[in-house]
Amino acid sequence: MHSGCNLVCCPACGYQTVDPQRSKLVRLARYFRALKTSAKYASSGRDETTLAEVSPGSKAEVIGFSEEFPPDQRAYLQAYGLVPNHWVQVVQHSPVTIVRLDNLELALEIDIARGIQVQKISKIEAETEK
Amino acid sequence: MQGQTALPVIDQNRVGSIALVGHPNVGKSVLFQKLTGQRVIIANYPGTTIELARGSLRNFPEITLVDTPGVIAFPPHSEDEQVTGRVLLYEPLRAILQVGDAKNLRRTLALTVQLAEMGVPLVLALNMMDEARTRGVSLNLTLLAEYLAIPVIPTTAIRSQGLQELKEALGGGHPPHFRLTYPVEIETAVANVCTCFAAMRLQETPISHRSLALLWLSGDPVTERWLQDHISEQALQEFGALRQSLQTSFVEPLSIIIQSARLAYIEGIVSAVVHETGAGWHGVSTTLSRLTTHPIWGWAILAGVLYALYWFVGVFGAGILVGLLDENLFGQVINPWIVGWVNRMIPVPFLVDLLVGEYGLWTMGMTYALALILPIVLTFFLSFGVLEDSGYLPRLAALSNRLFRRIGLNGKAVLPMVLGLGCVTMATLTTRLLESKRERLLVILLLALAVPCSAQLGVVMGILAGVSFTAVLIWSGVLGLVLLVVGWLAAHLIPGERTQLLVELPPLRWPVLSNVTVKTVARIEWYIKEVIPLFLIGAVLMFLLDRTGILNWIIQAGKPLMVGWLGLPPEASAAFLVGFLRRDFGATGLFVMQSQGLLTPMQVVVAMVTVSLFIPCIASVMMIAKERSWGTALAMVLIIIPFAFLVGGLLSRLLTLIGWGV
Repeated sequence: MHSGCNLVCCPACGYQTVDPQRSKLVRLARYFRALKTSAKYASSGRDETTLAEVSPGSKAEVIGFSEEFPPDQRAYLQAYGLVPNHWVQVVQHSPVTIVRLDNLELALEIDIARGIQVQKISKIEAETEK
Repeated sequence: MQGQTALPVIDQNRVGSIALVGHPNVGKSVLFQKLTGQRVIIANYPGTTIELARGSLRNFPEITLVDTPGVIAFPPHSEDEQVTGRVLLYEPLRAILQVGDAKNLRRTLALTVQLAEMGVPLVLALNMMDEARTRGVSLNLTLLAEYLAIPVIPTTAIRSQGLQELKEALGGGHPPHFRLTYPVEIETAVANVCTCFAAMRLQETPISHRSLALLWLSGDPVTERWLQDHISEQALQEFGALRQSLQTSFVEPLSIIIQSARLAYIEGIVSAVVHETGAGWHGVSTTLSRLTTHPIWGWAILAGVLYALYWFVGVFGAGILVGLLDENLFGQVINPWIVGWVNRMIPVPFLVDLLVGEYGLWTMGMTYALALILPIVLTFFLSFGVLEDSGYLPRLAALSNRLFRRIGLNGKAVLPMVLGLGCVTMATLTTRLLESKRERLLVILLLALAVPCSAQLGVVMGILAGVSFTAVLIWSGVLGLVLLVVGWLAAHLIPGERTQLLVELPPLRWPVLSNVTVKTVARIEWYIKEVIPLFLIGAVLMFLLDRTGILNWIIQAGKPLMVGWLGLPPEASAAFLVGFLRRDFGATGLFVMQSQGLLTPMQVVVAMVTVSLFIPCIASVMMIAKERSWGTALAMVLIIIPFAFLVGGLLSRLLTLIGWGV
């Protein structure tokens, strides 16, 4: 078989089928399937996760705090405005997580970000929210 | 003036001071300065004010204004926030002036609601209105004042806008009739506690009974302390039982339930009075802000900042200015004139020696302090002032967090550490902005051990630069290693959990020249008051020891340590002796020895490392005792001094072994 061949062949019966690892056609189909999935995700637009998982530049809505979160820490964050039903925009995650809320920028350690439960929204929806 | 006629009205009903309260970095100290005409240190980072500042209101000397450390919310989170809590509970107040950030109304109101519940006349100054406008935030202040039933005054304190209106509002202040309804279980408990207060005849509570009860239910440590001072042990236990039983009615902690009720109320107000156009986060300042905390560009910018600092303090301050002052002005003009004058006017040789001899008050004490140290501290405080006002320091806290994490701290420790490069005593006071006792203790230890103040840094750099660049590298390498190893060890030995970083990043701003100058002058004044008496005491001590022959005896007695262990000439004992007063004084003594050619390069490095690891100065030891306890201060002295000699001796052996600078 030459290098461009995408087929695999059974040595016993001679049956031939497309090799999914080599076939450009299969890879193209996979790409479109992934695109469809992400479009579906974007249309629903919502995904519950933690602030640490929100990619830089994206917005998320605070929905709560982890149960392990110390109450005084939570009260402190709430006093800063990190309260349920509010939007935050993640600026970066390294070296620390930086978020924007209202007209305030807060730097917090990734462990704190992991304790803040949020609902991710698509960038399209974030733009609409703006 | 309307303000002048209006203000005394308040006196008829209440006596006491006016407390300036608000979140960190919202301009309380600027307003304090404008309203009292008194100088206070102002900077663009949260936690600048760590102690109370008091001043009389301009034109009203009988009315005192108290500037308090910033507080995020009650119950307070750190020691400096507790200072504000204590003002509200222990100080007789005629009014509270809350300073809030106009562009972050939601956060501001979270504190306003708590203050309004206290029942003390309250005025809200919504500051930084200019920034709010730039960010596209417009506010309906009339509606806001109606909702809260308190005067709301827009101000831009830095430009003196709104100050007259503020004074008038303070004059007409009356206790707000603000009442927020909480869940029924909490309302019942509050009513019970208030009935108990009334039964105990606690008439003279500084704030309303209702607010006191809510603070108690939220677990506020300052309120607990206040109640311990004012009610019986049995009553306190009954309150404790009440709080515990109330907690069983909720899954969430009581403090969160109470706070959530307030936040829900605030949300309604905010949606009615705030209109945002979304101009938000654009411009050069925002881009630069991102770069300063960028994982790669952030370090490049830091390197640039450090280089600029080195150039201004090291090259210009310690090199050019010290050269001009020490060699030219003092060495050729002032000192020869004073020595000649004293010799002519005072016929007693003992007094001549005391004033202008080898260890004379002028020739040693004043010349060291004014010609060698002052230019270095001046240039450092000027550059530190610029850094503070720009808002760079909190970004440095974010950038360096990982490094501090390794030694059991968080990035917030960078603020006292950098200030420690200016003055360790001031920096020890600043550790109050750290959240836990453990962190404060750790930072105080590291400051006392391995952070050289600008005066010492300047002298050390001056000496080491004269040896070689390798000498500078060895010295800074050893100090850095000690900082990391001791920090790592102490973090593992001192019990307690590390606090995670949570810091507000204020907007980057252009430093205002007048503000930088004012605070540099204030710091220099503070420094001179601290340094000159110690330098003079040191000079007198050395003079007396020399005259009585004790110095010679000490030099002989110190020989095994100086010569045997550190490998230094015996005369170095004298420098280490004054190093107990101030380590830069000791370093200056070694500087003189080096300039006389008494030290080899290896001896210079060993001496500098040892003296840098000494206790910074007597004033800093007293500050440690004040901030922590005399026991802690004594323990630190007993650990640090033998440790400094141990590291110096080990370095001496290592350098001898490799044959460097022998």
